[in-house]
Amino acid sequence: MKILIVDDSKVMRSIVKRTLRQAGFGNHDVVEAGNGSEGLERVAEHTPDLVLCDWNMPEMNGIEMLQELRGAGNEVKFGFVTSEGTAEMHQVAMDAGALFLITKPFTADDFEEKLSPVLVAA
Amino acid sequence: MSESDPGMEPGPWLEALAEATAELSTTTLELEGCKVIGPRRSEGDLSGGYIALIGDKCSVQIAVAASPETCRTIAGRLFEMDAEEAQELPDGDVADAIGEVVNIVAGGVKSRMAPYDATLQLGLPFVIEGVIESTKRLRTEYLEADLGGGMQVVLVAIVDTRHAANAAA
Repeated sequence: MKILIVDDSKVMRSIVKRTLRQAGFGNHDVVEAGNGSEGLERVAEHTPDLVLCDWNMPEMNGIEMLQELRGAGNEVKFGFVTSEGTAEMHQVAMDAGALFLITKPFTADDFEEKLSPVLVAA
Repeated sequence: MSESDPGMEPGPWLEALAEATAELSTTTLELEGCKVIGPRRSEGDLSGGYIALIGDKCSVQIAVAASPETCRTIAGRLFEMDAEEAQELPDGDVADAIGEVVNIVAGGVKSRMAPYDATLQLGLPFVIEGVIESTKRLRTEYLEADLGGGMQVVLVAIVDTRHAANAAA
């Protein structure tokens, strides 16, 4: 399976990869993008099974990327990994078609809990 | 949480910042033994990641600052490098890491301070070196902490008292 990590921070992409490995998902292929626009390109190129996306990013943010995908009829599984996790953001994310929202700082247990049902079903 | 007015006093923000930093230490940094050492008079000549939290009732900057060597060690830990390798990291990667550290703790501070001001919004993190020159309208307090493993940082909270005064008027 293939996971796309979209985050403008190189170090955060590294942390997400480490946490995926710690949560038992280290055998999946990982593709990276630095913002929502790049993320859309990677989705088209690689057809990932899951997108893990930051919320605040330059050029195109995470929610705009998700709306673009759903607007184009793409139903790729999509979750947010973000430093803010208000109830309002959670609702906006779910309404746009996200499956979950993981708040930073996170643990491998958080990833296992949120990703296991998604990746098993993929 | 202390009884101070968070719109006028840095204390409650520092308290929330210390809690959020301890959370970051045990999770993202995978360290043990994070502890507050005590108050400090200034950040000194350090590198710091700064980020704004602005709401209807308050305008605040928080920071996590450390020596250049400690910033590199923190960055290296996030990039899964040992301390020696980390000293070779490009400046841009160190700035990225310290910016992300303060971005993460700011999310924790925001959630902890939401009962005081539910309208808080995070700004963009940035990294600077050196001493912040305060002005009369700003109140600044510092707290020294050990992230664990001897990595000492200075936590900074800067409150814009005029913003709070205008909001209260």
